[in-house]
Amino acid sequence: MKKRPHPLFKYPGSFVWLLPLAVAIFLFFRSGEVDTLRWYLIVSPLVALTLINLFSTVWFGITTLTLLFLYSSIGSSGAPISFAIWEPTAWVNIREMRGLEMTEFEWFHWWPFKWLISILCLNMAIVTIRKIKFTMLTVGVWSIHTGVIVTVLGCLVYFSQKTEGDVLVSRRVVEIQAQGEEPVSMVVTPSNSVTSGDTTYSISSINPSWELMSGDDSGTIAYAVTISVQGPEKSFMRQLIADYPQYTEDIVQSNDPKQPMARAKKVLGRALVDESLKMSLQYDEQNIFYVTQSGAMYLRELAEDGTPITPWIERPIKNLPRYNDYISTHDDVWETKGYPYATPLDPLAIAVSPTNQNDPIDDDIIVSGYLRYAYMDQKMKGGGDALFPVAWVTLRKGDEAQQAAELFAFDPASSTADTSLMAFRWVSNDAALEELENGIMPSLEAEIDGTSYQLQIVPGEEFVKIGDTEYEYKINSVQNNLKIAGRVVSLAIIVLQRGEQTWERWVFDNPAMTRDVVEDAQHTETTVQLLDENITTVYRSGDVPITIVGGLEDGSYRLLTSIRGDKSTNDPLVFGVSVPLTGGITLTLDRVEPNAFTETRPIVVPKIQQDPSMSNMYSMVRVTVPTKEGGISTWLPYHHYAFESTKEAARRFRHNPTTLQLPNNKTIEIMFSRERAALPRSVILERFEVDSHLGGFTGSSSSILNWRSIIRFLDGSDTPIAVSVNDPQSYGEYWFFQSQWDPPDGASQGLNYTVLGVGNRHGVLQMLLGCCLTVSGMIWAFYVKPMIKRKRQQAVYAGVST
Amino acid sequence: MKYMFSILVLVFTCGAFAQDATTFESQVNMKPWSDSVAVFTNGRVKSFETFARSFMPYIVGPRKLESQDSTFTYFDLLIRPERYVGEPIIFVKHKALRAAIIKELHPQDLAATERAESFMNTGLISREELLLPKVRALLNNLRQDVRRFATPVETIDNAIAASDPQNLWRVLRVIPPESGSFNEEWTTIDTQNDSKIIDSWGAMADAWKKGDANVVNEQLLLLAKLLPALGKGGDIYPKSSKLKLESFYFRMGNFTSIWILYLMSTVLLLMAFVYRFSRIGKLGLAIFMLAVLLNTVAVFWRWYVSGRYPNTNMFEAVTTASWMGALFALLMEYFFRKSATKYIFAIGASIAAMVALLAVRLYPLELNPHISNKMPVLHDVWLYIHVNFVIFSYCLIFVAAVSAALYLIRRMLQKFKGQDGKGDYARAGGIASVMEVQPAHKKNATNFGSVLDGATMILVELSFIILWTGIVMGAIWADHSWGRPWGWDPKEVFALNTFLIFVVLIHTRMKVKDKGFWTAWLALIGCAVMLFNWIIINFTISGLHSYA
Repeated sequence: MKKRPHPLFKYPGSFVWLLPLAVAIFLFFRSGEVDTLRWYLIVSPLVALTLINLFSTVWFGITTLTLLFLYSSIGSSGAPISFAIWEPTAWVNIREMRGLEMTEFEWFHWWPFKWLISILCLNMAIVTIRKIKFTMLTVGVWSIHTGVIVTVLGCLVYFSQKTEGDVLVSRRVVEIQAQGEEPVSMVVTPSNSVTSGDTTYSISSINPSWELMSGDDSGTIAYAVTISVQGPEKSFMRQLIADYPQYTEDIVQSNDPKQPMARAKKVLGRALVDESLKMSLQYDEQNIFYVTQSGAMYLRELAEDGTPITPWIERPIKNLPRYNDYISTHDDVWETKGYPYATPLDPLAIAVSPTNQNDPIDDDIIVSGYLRYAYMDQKMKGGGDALFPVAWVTLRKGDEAQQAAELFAFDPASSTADTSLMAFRWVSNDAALEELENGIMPSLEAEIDGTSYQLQIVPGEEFVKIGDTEYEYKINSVQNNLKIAGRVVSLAIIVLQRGEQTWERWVFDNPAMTRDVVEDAQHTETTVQLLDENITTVYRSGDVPITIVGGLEDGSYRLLTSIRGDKSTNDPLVFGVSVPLTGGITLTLDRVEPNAFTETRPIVVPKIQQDPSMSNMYSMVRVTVPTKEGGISTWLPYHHYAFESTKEAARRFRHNPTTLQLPNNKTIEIMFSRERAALPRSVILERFEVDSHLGGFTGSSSSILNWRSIIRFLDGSDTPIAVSVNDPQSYGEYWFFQSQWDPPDGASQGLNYTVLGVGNRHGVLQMLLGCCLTVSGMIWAFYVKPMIKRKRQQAVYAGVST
Repeated sequence: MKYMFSILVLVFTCGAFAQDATTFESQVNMKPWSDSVAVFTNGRVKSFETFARSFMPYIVGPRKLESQDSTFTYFDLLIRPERYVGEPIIFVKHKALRAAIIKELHPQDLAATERAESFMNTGLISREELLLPKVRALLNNLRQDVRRFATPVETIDNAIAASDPQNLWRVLRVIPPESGSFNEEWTTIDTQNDSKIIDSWGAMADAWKKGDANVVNEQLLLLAKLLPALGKGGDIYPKSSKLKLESFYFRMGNFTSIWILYLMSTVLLLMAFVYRFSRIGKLGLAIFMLAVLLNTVAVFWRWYVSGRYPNTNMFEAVTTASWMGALFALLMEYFFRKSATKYIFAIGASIAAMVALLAVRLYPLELNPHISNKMPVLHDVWLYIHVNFVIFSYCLIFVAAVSAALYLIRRMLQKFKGQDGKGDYARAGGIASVMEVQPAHKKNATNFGSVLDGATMILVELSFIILWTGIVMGAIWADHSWGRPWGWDPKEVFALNTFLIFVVLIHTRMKVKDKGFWTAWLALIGCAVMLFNWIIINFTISGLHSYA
């Protein structure tokens, strides 16, 4: 028998809803409210009413469920592109592809997903109302379907209002007030420093586990910070202990060689070197958090001396891609050598408008490029205006090894090769080449009774007679370009013999340093002595043994060496042609740029080298700041936190804003980071604690039982709140949970900051209610219903049998 | 009883091998150390044997080196490193890496030497070969391929570092803190002031170098008495009985040999189910019960030695899930002993447990059996609630897939016979099928098809509820751990996807005529999605649930 339609859908007939549907769609498009909550609440029911018969079938629901399954699978794992599905490279994440650029959150809040969920809920509701009569036997199904709809509504509330992010709170800030100076401060993080007047204050050491040895709190573990004070007149250290200002004391140099640094109290008779210098450890107050998976740029104007005129002004960047690279021209980035990877040209044009009246720039800033994983690199390019010769060479040893080197003629210190072995010289004429050639070989000269003798520099065991004199010598060793006490020196260690007397002489390239080695003598520069002043010796180390020479009149390049035998060599160098040096090593001149100049661009890290766990930490955006002349473009690397300045930056997090000089003489600083949101109250970190397993905290993560941030909201209450793993705390509309910490490493004992996760959670109770209804319904449908049916059957059978 | 004893002997001697009793390694008796000496490692103490068994695979991989016990190899590498110079002792798991290294070492011919062939087969190569500049250059180059090779290359580097005698000494922390403090680190023997210990170690090491097994055994025994005595001041040194149990547990291969019992019961129960051999069925059930009993012992044993319920890593999740499934099947067999579904649950659970135990035996590196501390996020009561619900549901899904597969096999056989079989399904479905006072179609009530279909539905319904409850409980845990109940993590999504398949199954069953066929196929698809979640998502597509 055909089931009668439910009265709600009986009249006036489903296609009558077409008209209101069309009107609604028109109005929504007109008002630009498509894809809003209202759109789904109004339009999707109208669609369902229009197609009421379709929405009344279970098959339609099954189809929707299947589509949901496919959609979820594709968005989560991606799609396999090979049968080796156990290989990570076999999976391509569709939602991350160019054109989509969606996070998991965005994929599951895209209109197809919302439509599928809406359709499923409407299908469930319509089928339940129209086809499932509410009886004791159908309580389960009604409960399940109601539960699912309530859960979805809870999700709707939850995800539509979801805000999630994190806040980094350092443990302490050092506040410094020197007499006659403005107060300054810096976050306590290793190596941080600040200058006030002509004195520099830097964090010398941090001990998060300082045990108090005296006083009422003896045995208490405290947070101790030592500040190094470097002034023109005095230098000392000041130790500060958090929450124990009474224990502040200075450490100064003492005259005791066994204990070069001692407490000021012991040396000077007072705890502080300078009583007028006030230093204290204060809490780091944070009143904002950074929103997850968001983008923003921060700008501020600088005065001529580099001091900020305005605070950082935020400009949110909407619709910023996340997973793929976008560049306007290939000149935006350096070519990545060795990988078949070319960034396609696909410029962005995201206008980022000012949102604050204090913004130093009135116009839109255009985001024209984005790189997911790149780093800035400086490279030399040819074609500059000024002469600045650079040569690129490759050293090879058979097929075993090769090493490339970049040699700067005018700035040898920047060369990537060992400057004592290899150099690039630029000469102005051919005569200079001859001069270089003459000076390349090392020489050792002895002068005896006014006569000069050239000595062969060949290390050996046998003594060699010097001319027809009574002196003999042998070479022990030659050591060129030794770095001693900040100076570069070369020397020949020789042994001289005259009759029965034999002694060692160190012959330096600086004759003033040449001395005979006398056992037990104090060999300082002022006590140079010669045992026999009748023989004087001079050593010349010669020029760099491998010297490439350019700038010749015929435009050719030459290779001068002093390592191929007893005499210097002078060979032509042709690009790409290897020249043998010594020991099977060859040198090839690859390229020379006479008018080279440096340029900084990003290098895109090839996909296979990208560490997925780094997320977008190495991303950067290219922005164009409009000017009358057209605009100034620059790449901005990603900053996880937009700290006020280096002094506020915690370690491990970059703070390197880009400075732009605008044509109107304005200097602005600009930085790429995440959007900020306000916390209900400022929060401070009182302590950070680590609970450990047996054996204490060893530095290994496996020894950690729990992390705990003892925080406090500055609302007038003195009550600290402990936030730890699995034990978040709520404050205002947000929950605060333990997210990251400062682990110890080679540079620090860590524990200097905490990162708290911040998130709201509206609709959670509705979701829970829905889930409970669903579970109850399942139990009813699968287990209670059969029992009821069984009882009824039994009753029927009993009735029949009687 | 005699047969049972023979079976037990067969199970627990499986994998044993004979050793030449005249060699030094066979004469050295490491048992005193295995049973009495505790080693501190990564925030917990283990028996020396457990420590060596967990440490050596990082160097030599899943197999023993030269059939030596891990305890012996550890000491030998420490005291006689020269013996291993040039010997293949470092395990390279990644086969593409092995091929690349061989190509670098022997560029002319891939199968140039026997040694290369052996490396390709066993994965073992010498430290010296791996330290050759050209191999280092190759590995450093491959390391840049972050997604494919960075971790395997790092594993090789870690193995090289771990095999260094200095490192072996550094991690051999057998001296408890003198204060007996819980928070103080354990140290190595060289920090000990007790001259007896120092002298004894020195004498043992000298004798070891000389190959004098008698002196070695004497000194090992002495040290095994002296070292535990250091911990008597506090309660941080584990009891000898616990150390013995721990060593024995691992010596028995974590009791994973029970898979043989499950295999035997599967064969017998299948024969009993198909051919209705009553006596065979009883024997099959008896073996199944024995296997469940031993499995229970194994779970509780591990619980005792680890000091926590075993469900915090992949090994524990897999083995505990199979144990829960086996216990469930035992209960079902008891409650439905007179119904037509008799044996089906035991068959399904046997196969599930057999697969699980074989998997952990065959993949000890991926499903690492060694006991370590829980990650901080796992110290929560919801770990026990959420994880157990989910893994139990996964096991039920697998068991349901077994009965579904049996159903499909039967349908296939029917097709060969020219029979239809479309009418073979449980009319009431699920638990209702066994609750029916009088089955609507008597002829169907006893045919295998409807019985298998009914069993599948019983399992599907139960897993449906438990999986959903598990997902909800996971959301509650995530809400207070990560600050949000749902984050679209791949593991979460695929747990939901598995549930979606079963939602489709239940609704499809309502609508189609060939209910048994579609139910079976969707049960198999649901199982495939579950396995995809457990294997591919865990090992290939990482997420927040990387530990399970």
